[in-house]
Amino acid sequence: MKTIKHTSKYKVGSGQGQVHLRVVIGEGQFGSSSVVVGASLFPQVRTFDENIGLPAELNGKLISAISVVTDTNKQTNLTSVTYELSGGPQPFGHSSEVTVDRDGDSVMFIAEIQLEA
Amino acid sequence: MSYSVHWGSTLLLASVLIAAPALSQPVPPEPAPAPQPEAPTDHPASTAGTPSAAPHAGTASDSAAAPAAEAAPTAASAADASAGLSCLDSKDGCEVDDLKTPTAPAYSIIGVVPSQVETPRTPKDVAVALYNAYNGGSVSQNVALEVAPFWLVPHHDLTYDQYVNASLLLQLVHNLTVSAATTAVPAQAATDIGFGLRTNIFFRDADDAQRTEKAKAEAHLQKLQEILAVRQQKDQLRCADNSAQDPCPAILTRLEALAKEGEVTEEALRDARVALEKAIEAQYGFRLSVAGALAYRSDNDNLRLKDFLKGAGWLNGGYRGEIWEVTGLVRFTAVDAPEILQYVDLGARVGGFGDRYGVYAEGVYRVVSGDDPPVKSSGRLVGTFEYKLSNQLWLSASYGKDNDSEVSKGAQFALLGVNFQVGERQVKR
Repeated sequence: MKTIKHTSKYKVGSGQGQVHLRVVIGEGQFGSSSVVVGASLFPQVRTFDENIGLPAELNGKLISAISVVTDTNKQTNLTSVTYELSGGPQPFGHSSEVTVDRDGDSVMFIAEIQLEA
Repeated sequence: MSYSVHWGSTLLLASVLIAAPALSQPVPPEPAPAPQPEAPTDHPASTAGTPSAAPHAGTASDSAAAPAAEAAPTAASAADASAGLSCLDSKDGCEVDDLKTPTAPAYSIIGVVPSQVETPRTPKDVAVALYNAYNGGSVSQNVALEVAPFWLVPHHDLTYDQYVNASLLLQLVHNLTVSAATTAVPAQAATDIGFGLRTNIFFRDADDAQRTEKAKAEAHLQKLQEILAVRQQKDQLRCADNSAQDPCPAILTRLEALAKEGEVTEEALRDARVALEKAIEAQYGFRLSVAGALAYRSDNDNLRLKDFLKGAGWLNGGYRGEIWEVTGLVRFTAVDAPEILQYVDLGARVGGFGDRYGVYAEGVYRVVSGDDPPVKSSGRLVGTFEYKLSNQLWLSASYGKDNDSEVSKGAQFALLGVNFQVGERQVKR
């Protein structure tokens, strides 16, 4: 299984609003994501779209998002995962993509995002 | 082996035919279109492992652990490519299956069965393919190109649920394919060029059992993916088997709960994916496909669409239920050479099915107009009953009336056959 890894940092700032994380599996492909934020494991979902905490609580924590995507779309062999964060001083967005070699293959996308003040 | 008895209004003819099983069996069923139907599927795309970054506030790095896939030409289905206009000049006329919307109308309109089809997956690949086909002003021979425009660019926001539940308008866009083909006409130092469009939509009408089956297949595949993901979380966070450090206990508990799903292998993931695909394809519903194609002739050394040869349009619609199916088909063909002729072929099939039997009636009516048409408008009607004696042995009986030919009125016919074939066959649908 192919593995695609992404690492980055995100400034959560010192605001009073919730920090929001979205992990979207694109290209119409079937996949799901496991997300750990600091000490919390969130339930596995197809599209992760949750508030993950206040900036003050999140400072110094690590987001670990692991998505497994299976090529179920007959129209394309492209698979992608998009990570979006908001609630800090600036929004964050990143898409990782890879084409599977054979129809029906699966890919693991790993993202580690370090949260900073 | 097939034993057939034919009789006309004045003539009784008995014959024994020994036929290959493939010749004596009906055309295989068209699979029930899923929301993502009939598209080039076996073609590895030409770009891979190219993570793309949207603007963001943080610093980022990506690493792909696997190399890029290489583009590879893929053999086209001969049946798909030759379908469509193959029966236009046949003295036997068209059957319902001949009127089905071809997968690649450009190939059908110029009557080619390409052994390799180029399926570019990015705008750059399309440009390269067109440049190669254009060949500096002259026309390359034996070009076979098929493009799904919507999928030329990534759709990072298009989720699985949005895709499989797409509106009819979006389905038209998702399923649109454009095809082009060329073939040499040596006698005239010319090249025939075909262009085609095709798309289709599916109005899903699944029953509760089918919806449950699909949900179960989705849940199973998701569980397998979760095992892989949570196991990776465990490794990533270096959780020991008895670690009390958060979030390790939650991860270990979740892994324990998932253990009953069994070992996750590549094969298990593939099986789960296939089960999901089958659950989607098995859903009842109304399908509609539409296609159009044009053919021109050009000089070999100077690309110029100077002579219009043919144009054709297809419209197929059908509903498949649990024990019955109805299909209606229309094909319009305009031929400009050597004479100007227009054909409108209308077809319909109604069938009822059980585990061991199939009974269906189908009819085709052709309306011919234009300059001195070689045949008059006429139709063909046939009723067929099939009964499965065993997995390899089928009894079939047909009765009908053929269409008129150039020299005679369509005769009545009856066929009684026992078909033997290696391998299991399903009732025709």
